[in-house]
Amino acid sequence: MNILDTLRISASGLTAQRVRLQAISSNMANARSTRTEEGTPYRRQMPIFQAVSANSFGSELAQQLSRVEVVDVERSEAPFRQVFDPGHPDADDDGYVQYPNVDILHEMVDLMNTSRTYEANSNVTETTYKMANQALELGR
Amino acid sequence: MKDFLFDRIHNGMGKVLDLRSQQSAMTAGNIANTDTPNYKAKFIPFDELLKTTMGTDNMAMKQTRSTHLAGMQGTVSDPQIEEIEAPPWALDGNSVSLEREMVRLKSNALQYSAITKGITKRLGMLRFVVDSNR
Amino acid sequence: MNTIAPIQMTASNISNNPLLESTSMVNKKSDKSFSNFLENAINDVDTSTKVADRKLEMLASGEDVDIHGTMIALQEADISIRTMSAFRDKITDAYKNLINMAI
Repeated sequence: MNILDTLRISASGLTAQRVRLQAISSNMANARSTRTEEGTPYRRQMPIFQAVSANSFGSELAQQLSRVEVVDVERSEAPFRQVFDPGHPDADDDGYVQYPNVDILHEMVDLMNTSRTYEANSNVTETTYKMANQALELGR
Repeated sequence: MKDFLFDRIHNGMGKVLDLRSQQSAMTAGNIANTDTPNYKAKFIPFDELLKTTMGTDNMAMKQTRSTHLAGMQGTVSDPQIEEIEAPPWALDGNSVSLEREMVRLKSNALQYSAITKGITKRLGMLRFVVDSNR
Repeated sequence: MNTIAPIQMTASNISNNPLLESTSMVNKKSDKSFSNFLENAINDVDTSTKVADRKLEMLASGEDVDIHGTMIALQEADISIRTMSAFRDKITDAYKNLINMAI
């Protein structure tokens, strides 16, 4: 009943955090990329998470269980950082260079949270396996 | 024969296992949705529920809520699920606290373990008596 | 545990067992004779093995992975069968004693 559901839910959590990790590493690597293929400076990547029913066919209680789904990885519409640097090849007419809207400190905090949450989801998987094994030993 | 052999406690413990299992799934959902905007953490509030499930509560026979568990009769309707409100500082409306969820996960697993062991021991005693009567 | 004592009862005082008052199975006969108890018991054992089989089937096919429920059902069926077997042995012994006395 719930063992498979629980495993799928924690798996979805692990996947979501992995997507987030990829976005963070892309952001950090491109924190100073003033050019991209689209022409503009790099825009910060943000994964969008959504809670989705884990078991739409189960009992009323089972339908309330939620796993997580990554709807999309979007680009932040926050304004670029303007830095005055007239000598830079990408400087505009006023001498300002547009840098990506990535804040390294913010990304570092996100990274720590991602790691913690990934570990928590991993704990859920392990605990669930342990519970299932104990159930199998019932009566022995 | 079934009620001859297996008493209220045995059946009650079986039902508690079902609930613990569901709690585990619900907590997994909370942890998976730690970063989902506007997601509210859900859980099954165990303290009151346990007394009625095991049938030790004197109020067990009175239906105070439509989702009340009736331990003695053997029927279990879905338990009341509680949601946690997001604290005022949560800008994304998410109310999941990883620490709280981890504590609930571990304590729930511990209870599950204790109950499975308890059931095993009781069944073992019963089987011993039955076998020694051959 | 109050279920230990009844198993050691002899046929004569089985009808005084208060546990027989409980009626959770359908088709239970209300007459408290020993033969009715036995008949109901046999049906119960049959049902519990069928329930255990069904749960095992659902577990194996992935239809409803309820591990603890399945294990408990299996244990209940196991103990029910052993109890039935112990009954049969005791009844056979009682019958033999009776036959040897009848001369």
